[in-house]
Amino acid sequence: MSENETKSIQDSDVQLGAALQNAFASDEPSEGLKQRVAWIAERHDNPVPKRPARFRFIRATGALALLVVVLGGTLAWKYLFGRPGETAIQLIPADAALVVTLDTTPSPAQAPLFLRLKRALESAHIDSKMNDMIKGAVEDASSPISAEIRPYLTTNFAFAMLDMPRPGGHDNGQPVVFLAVNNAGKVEELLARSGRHVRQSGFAYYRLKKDDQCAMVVANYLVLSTSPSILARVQMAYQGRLGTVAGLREYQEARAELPEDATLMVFVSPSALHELDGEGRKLGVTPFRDTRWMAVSSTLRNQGLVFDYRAPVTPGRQPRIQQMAQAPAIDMAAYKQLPSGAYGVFALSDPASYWDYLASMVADDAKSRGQFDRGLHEFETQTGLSVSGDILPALRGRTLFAVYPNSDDATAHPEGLIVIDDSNGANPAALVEKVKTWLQRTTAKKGNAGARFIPAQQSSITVWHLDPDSRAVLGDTIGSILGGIMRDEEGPNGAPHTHEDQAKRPAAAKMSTPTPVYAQVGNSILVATSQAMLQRAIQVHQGLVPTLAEDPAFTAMRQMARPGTQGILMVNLAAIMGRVEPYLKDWMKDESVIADDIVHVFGAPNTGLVASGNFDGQVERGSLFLPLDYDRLARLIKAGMDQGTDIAGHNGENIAEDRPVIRK
Amino acid sequence: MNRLALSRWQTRSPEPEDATLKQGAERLTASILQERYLACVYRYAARRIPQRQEAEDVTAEVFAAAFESLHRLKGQAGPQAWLLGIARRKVADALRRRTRRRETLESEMIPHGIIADTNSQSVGPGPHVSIEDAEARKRMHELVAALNPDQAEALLLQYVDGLSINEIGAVMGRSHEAVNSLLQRARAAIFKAGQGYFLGVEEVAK
Repeated sequence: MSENETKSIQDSDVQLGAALQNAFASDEPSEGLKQRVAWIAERHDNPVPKRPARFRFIRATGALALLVVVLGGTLAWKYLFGRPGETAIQLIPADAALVVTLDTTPSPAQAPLFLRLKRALESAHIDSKMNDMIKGAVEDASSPISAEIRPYLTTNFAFAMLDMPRPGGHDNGQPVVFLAVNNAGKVEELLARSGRHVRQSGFAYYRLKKDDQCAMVVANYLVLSTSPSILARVQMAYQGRLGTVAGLREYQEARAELPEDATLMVFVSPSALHELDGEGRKLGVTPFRDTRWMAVSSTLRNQGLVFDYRAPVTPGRQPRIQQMAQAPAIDMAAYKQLPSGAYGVFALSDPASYWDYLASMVADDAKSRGQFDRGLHEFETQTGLSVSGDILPALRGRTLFAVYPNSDDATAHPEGLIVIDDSNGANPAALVEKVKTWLQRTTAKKGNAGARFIPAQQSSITVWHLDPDSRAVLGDTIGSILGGIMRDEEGPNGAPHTHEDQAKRPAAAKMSTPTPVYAQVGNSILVATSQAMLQRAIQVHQGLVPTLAEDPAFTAMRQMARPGTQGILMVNLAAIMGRVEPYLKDWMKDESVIADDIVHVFGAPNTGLVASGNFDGQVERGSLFLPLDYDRLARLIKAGMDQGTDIAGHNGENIAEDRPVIRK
Repeated sequence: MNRLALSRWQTRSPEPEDATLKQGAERLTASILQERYLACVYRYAARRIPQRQEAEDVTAEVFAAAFESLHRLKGQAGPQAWLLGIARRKVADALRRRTRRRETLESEMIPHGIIADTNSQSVGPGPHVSIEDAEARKRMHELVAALNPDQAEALLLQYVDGLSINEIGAVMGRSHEAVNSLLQRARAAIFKAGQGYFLGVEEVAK
């Protein structure tokens, strides 16, 4: 081989290599993947010691028994109770971005409730009113097919957004609706009569004449979409040629954690969450980064509605929020620090652990991280407080925020109480000491002597309050700020405030500004909006008054919380509605029945709204319970519908009366 | 062929080597393995699987499997070839699952297989590339797609992943001679089909 030939081959080899490198270049692995694999490697290099064989055997036997129970239960469920809305999942292609199912077929436990609901709707004549409304809407849409098919439709359905891969572009979501029907043959017949039969690429569908809709009947569902391609994919899923959402392991895991008899379920796929994060990225946060199938459900229960939420966190994000997983569950001791009779309470077992969660939500790009770090630095410089050194160690214990009726005057504004305790080795007292020093320094800078806190001892408890001069200093500062805001506002009916008003407002603001007082019990801190409120909290620590742990309403509400809850919100709706009852009845003198229904729509006393959640290191779970009296709710819906009809009728008359008369 | 692509190839640097790796598999921990070879395995998967999330999942699966069988790693072909051999099997599994799952109308079908979708986000540096560059990339994809799958695989492993013939043999389970033959035929076929693309290589193709 000559020298020229060898050089030519080498050149061509270089050219080929460069061309292939260029054509098949690919991105670098994401940070999420790096962390995920690093985490797997870390677990491999430093394995958790295995349990003794005996425990492994017990666990294996337990898992097997659980599997048998779950499989048996699932089969029994499928045979015993049809859930047409949920069953539609078996027809939804696996790449769906969003899936919604509605099932109104009751489970045995729900049967009496559904009967009660049916009677309530019938007695309030809501069912006939809704039928009239639907009929009117259908007639307005001038789509005869809808009106004819309506008798064959059930109240179960599913809805999905499917990704439509497009060459050269991003995926576009396309909706598809699955309506469960009770007579598939009849529906097919009606479609054939009212729509145009189309056969394309080996499958058939109907194009509806007056709507931009394509329809077909598959199994016992009327499937509607604007795209024939979507219907084709549903058909392929039905024939088993295309994977479905039902076959996805992550969907199955998500579904397994929702109640079996959930009425409404929403599943959001990773691709949809990725889209949402794309929007969030503009604000510098990506809360759903790496989140897999997220699921939310709503279930009808005898006492009210239960919402459940489940979002798994992928291994890439898990190491950053492991602190949250280690937060202990809220125990009874937490509620023993609050007096009974609260309107509501919000409690966290380890608020500091949420810091990592919030930080992990900040988008991964350099700009967002930079903004976050600058903001943090600015805060630390201005206050002299270190987030990691002062604030987080103070907030490792239980923190409770509670709102109470005013003990002095029932008609006055409610009072607030915050308890930050020293469980989990937290030291909130040290943080308060630093805040106090900062406050003194800041107020002194404004030309005053600075705010001073005076201690007073009540047995082992130290109560701190501002001395009268300091109160005036703080009052003036806050009053001037509020006064400034008020001067900027407009008066009644958009008119500017009079000089007299402006002169009065700052003083009024100063008078109404609550002066926070606090007490220190060990290293725990109690902060209240008034001395009276603080005194009630201190009496709890001295064992002189009943605690929230013994409060019947909150005892009942705690039963509705998730086991192992790390954060909880409980609102005594019955107490709040009882508080507004006199005003409501006075305001609705002519409609006392409606006022009574509004007051008691959230059910009997000792029930309330309960939201609770926890994170086990892999999955975030939450639930919300909203108490409801369905009979009263049905009556209120009817009243609302009647009022709507009256208003519509009244407006119609006005339009007729106001119409100008054309004289010839 | 454009100059940009040529300069990229000429400035390409080989994968970093570590003295500890040369001494044998005994000192190779899972952490070192993933630090050194994550990018290379991910790029291998991403070139073959269009969806980024799926490519990442496969990469994680590769490392999980590799860590489990780390004790089986022998020093013959080196960790990179060993990992890419696992990756090759995992990618094939993923593509099989994908074929079963994402069958769709012909008009909507995404071409996949050994060659990733040219419209996918995972291929190429993105919208800033010039029209000329995009055309050249498209042409190369077509040329490689026209090859026998084994030839295409060997070609990409050599020129894109930078593997030696022995390493390619380890990845593909072929002998040194078989890989050599595959590469020669691949080169000849691609030069012949792309005569207008590779200027002045007509003689080589002949």
